[in-house]
Amino acid sequence: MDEKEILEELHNQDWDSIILRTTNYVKKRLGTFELIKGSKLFARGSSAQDITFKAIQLLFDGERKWNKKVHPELTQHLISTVNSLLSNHFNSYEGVNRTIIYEINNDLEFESFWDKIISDSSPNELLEFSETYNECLKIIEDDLDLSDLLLYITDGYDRKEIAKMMNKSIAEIDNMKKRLRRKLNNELSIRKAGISK
Amino acid sequence: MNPNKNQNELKNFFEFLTEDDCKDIKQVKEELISAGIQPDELLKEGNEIVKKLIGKKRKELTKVRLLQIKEKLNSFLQTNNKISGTTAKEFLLNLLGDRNSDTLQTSFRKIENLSDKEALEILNENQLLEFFSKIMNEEK
Repeated sequence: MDEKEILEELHNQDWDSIILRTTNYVKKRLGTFELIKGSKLFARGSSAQDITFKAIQLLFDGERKWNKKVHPELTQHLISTVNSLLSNHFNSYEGVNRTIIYEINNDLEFESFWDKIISDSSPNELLEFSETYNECLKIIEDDLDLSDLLLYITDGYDRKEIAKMMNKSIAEIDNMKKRLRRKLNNELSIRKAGISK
Repeated sequence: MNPNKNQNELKNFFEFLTEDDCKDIKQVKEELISAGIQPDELLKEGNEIVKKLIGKKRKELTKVRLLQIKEKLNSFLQTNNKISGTTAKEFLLNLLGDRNSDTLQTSFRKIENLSDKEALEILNENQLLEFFSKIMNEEK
């Protein structure tokens, strides 16, 4: 595919959906980071929109080329770029007097965002993260299925393995995961808002 | 229960919390609104940026293509002493590219319909660049 065809393909994308979904993803990531690190300074004044637009710009500038074999959907590719940008934000946030620069590491793995954050955290922070996790277990302690699901997820089992162990279909596990994610994010946000008051 | 989760478990936990599971646009919009982002404003700004970036990229590609055409013309003129109308048209058709392309059919017809005299007149740098600039604008 030559550059002209690539450009036409980009032109024909459903940009409304891409912009909305990517921004929502960034917002959630920033929110979770704020939740666990307790700081709004992480993004250094960059909004979720800014980060989404930067990822789009890098795509068109050719600095982050879309590889459809790795990410069949453009949104997935942009999410991968966003993770690199957020990882750079994190480096900048952690460093003293460092300026935010959008250096993109194309080798950065999709999952490495949390790897980086966790491996760079102090023992006290790790303890706080564990407490957040335990808080989540308490939130769902009355629902045995959700409690089991969270334990399996954190142990690293995939949806097929979990479905087999819980004697449920994969679709049921997917729905349970969505329900669990919403419940935990909502409850944690409410509790955090309560603390900050 | 172990109060200190190991790092891998914590990574799995946070990955799970922030996973992109929402493909329903109505729901995405609701989530954005609850996070203080107005979807309509976001789309207006975002689509404007995309439009500008596509326009910029198109200009860059046109510039590169015109430069290549200019180089090919110079090489063609240097290697051919006597140029007939048919040879000129064949050269112009080759410059256009893939004859099976649906988007270029109008442009191919335009070249094929040129008289020999018109085809020969185009074979100078200014005329040729103007001719292909028009074609490229029509392709858009």
